[in-house]
Parts: sequence; structure tokens; C-alpha cells
Amino acid sequence: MTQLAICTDLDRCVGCLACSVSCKVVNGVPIGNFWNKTLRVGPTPKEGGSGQFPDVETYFLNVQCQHCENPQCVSVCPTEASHKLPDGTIQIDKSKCIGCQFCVMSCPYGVRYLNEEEGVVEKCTLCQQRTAQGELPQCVSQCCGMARWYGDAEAGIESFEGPRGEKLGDFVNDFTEDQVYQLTDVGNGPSMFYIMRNIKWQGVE
Amino acid sequence: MEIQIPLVIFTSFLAWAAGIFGTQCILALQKRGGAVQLPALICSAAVLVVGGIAVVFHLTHPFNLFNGFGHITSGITQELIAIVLLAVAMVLFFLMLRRSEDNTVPQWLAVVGIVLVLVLIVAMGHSYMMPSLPAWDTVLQLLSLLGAACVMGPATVAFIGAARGIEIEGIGLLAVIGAAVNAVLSAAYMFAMEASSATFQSFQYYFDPTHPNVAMANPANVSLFTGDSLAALVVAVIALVVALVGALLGKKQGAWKVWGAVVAIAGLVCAVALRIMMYTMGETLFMLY
Repeated sequence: MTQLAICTDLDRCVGCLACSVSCKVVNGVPIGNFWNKTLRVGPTPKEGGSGQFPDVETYFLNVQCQHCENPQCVSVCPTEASHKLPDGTIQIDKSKCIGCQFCVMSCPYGVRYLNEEEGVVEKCTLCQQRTAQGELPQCVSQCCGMARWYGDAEAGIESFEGPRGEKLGDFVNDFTEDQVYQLTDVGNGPSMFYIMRNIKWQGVE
Repeated sequence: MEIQIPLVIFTSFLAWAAGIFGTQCILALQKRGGAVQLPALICSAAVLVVGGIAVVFHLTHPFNLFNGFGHITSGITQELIAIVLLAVAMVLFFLMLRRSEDNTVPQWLAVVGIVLVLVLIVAMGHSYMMPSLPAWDTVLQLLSLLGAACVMGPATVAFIGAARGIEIEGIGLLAVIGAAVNAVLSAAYMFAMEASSATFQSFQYYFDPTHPNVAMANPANVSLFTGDSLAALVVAVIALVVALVGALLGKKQGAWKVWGAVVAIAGLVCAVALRIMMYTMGETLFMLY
């Protein structure tokens, strides 16, 4: 079993939006829509601090399709347009999509949208057109902070590959298991990982 | 979430059709109803067709309806199966009525009809129960559809009976019970929707550089008492009270030509307002993207 995914070292992310912008360029994402968005989380007052600068902390969070283990978007799709591939990614067969938008409603992260022009739903494909040729997803290869890493989650995130060919386990600072986070799981099993060491993860994991 | 008018009409009208047919089956089970059965069946089928046509307009193109439905885990597919089964039961009901000399149908068909009505309501409600949308992911959402069927069905049958001068024994009690069930279940779902905002993902402080002028999403603002939800809430509460009072007055006075119509329309208004609230409250769990 393979589960292709992206791991982001949030301590390395500088919030430059290169991932978001490059994704839009390479995938032709319409104006106003995003397959990959970078949110600034914070500044959040540190626990026990004054509540004012410098007792605050901030991180950047890249949100995209989480290519879930048990994707609700796939189970609600009446035509199997949304489907899970053997490589673990969730893809949309646009020729089958009827535009009912139930997948949009069922996504806990709101990362899907209806392309009004084409009348079909779209979202991050994990750059299938690139990865099929052995390349990295555009958001990974364009990450100037060396924060984004791509690989098979089943093989462990240490084996994920970065833009210059290094492995995550060899390149980034040490981290422990409890410093690896995922977005809120409501039974869908998100597959993307976020590493953050000394800042408090906001929200529910 | 943007209000999906076709889906609002679809669910409300299907609950209405299920309510009428369910009432007919209950009457048939008790060997009551008589001459009201056929006009009520035509009304039920017509309402089902209106709901069915409405949902087609939810798709980006009506012809997408023929794009290969069939994924069985999908709520839409399950709804489609339930609708087809109910339509088959209606056809059987019609044929049995035409064959019968005293406007009765076999008891087994009445039981099958009631079961299929419940199956349709469960399938319809269940297809909207998604963990991603806290305001929808409750069994009370499903039960609110049952409430809608309960209030609209007996009232419509009572109205048809009165309009055609047919006395239907015990329809008043059914209408009062239906209106009361709807009031309780609709109110319960409204409370559940209001309580759902505690489930949202909250970061307290964040900034979305792609929407710099948009205020931070605050789960506390996802409330029935704000914006469009408030208007729908007021309408729904008034409608469910009107339906209940109308059913009581109808039972007391027996003037179902007036009160049957009032209760059925109030029930429909309540159902539509509740569905509109579903969309105005339909924020995704991760409401920051």
C-alpha cells in the first residue's frame, strides 16, 4: 500500500506563498480559487506570557487536499468521479463529475470548489501530471525554505524527498513523534504531515 | 454555505410527497380513506415529480443526470434508489386502487408503503449527515425531515378530503399528532444546529493573505441568531406554531378545507426555512480555508 503525501516543516516555512502561487501557475487554477493556500496562524499569546510582543508566536500553515485515508469526498460521489488511486492520492475524473458538489460539502477542510467555467469540481491533484514523470509536486519543488517534502507516508516521513534531492530525515532539524501534526481528523484520516517543534499547534488535531 | 435552492425544494417536496403517501398507507392499513386515496395519490406523485425535477437543476447541467449514477456509498445514489422504490410502490398502489371496488388496497402494500416512506426519509436525511458540516451531522437533521412529512402529509390528505367532500375518520388526530411531532423535531434540530458551533476548528488568531480584507472566521458567529439564519429561524418558528395551532383548530372545527391548507402550507414553509438554515449554518469544520 502506498500513500503519497507532503510533509511540511513549519519551522522552516517563511510564508513566502511560493507554493500557493506556483501551484496556481502550473495547474491553471482560476482566479479566486486555490489548491494550496498558506495561512498565517497567530500571533498567538504564549502561555504564561504578557500577551504582548515578544510573548507571542506565529507559524504558517499550508492547507490543501489532505488525500485522506478514508475520504468522505469519495464515498459521497454518486458517479465515482472522485476516486482514490493505488498511490493513495484522491483524483477527480472530470468526465464523470456532474457538479453536484456533495464532495465540496463533505470535505472537512473546504479545499474543493466548483469550477464554474467547466462545471466540474477541482482540487489539489498532488501534481499527478508531474509526479507521474518522476518529478516533485510544484509546491515542493518551488519551496525556497526547504520546508516541503514529498514521498510515501507508508515508508515514513524521514524518507520524503526535498527540492534538491535530499531526504527529510537527513536534512531538517531533529523532531520527535509528538512534534508531527495533522489537520483535524473526523474519521477521514488526513495524510499530510506538519512538523513543528517549539510552537504550540493551534486548533484540534 | 451558499443556499442551494434546488436541494431545498427537493428535500422539502420529497418529505411532503412521503408524508402524503405515508398518510394514505396509514389510512389504508386501517381500511379508511376511501375515495380520497386516488386524488391523494395523484397529489403525492405530482409533488414527488416537482421535487425530482428541482434536484436536476442543482447539477451543473441537467443532462449530467445521465452521467452514470450508481456509486452505492453515495447518499445521492441511495436517495435515487429510495425514490424509484417509492414510485414503484405508488404505481402498485394506483393499480390496486383501480382494481378495488371499495377504494382499498391490500394491507401488505400499505405496510410496504410506510416502510418505503421511512426508507426515503432516512436515505434523504442520511445523505446530508457529513462530519465536515457540524450543523448537518446530527440524526435530528434526519428526524426534522420526518417531522416535515408528518405535518404536511395528514394536513394535505385532510384538505383533499374536505375539498372533495369526503369524510375521513380520524384524520384530525393524525394532523394534530403530525404537527406536534414536527414542532418537537424541528425545534430539536434548531437547538442542535445552534449547539454545533462548538465543534468548529478555531485558531483564535490567523490571517489569510489571499483574503486580506475578510474578517477572521469566528465560530461564535455561526449562529441561528445572526444574518440570514435569523430570518429563517423566525419564519420557521412562526410556521411550526401556525401549523400546530391550525391542526388543533382544524380538529376542533372540522373545517379542513381551510385548516388543511393552512397546516400544509405552514409545514412546507417550516421545512423550507429549516433547509435554508441548514445552508446558512453549513460552515465546514475547518472554516478558515
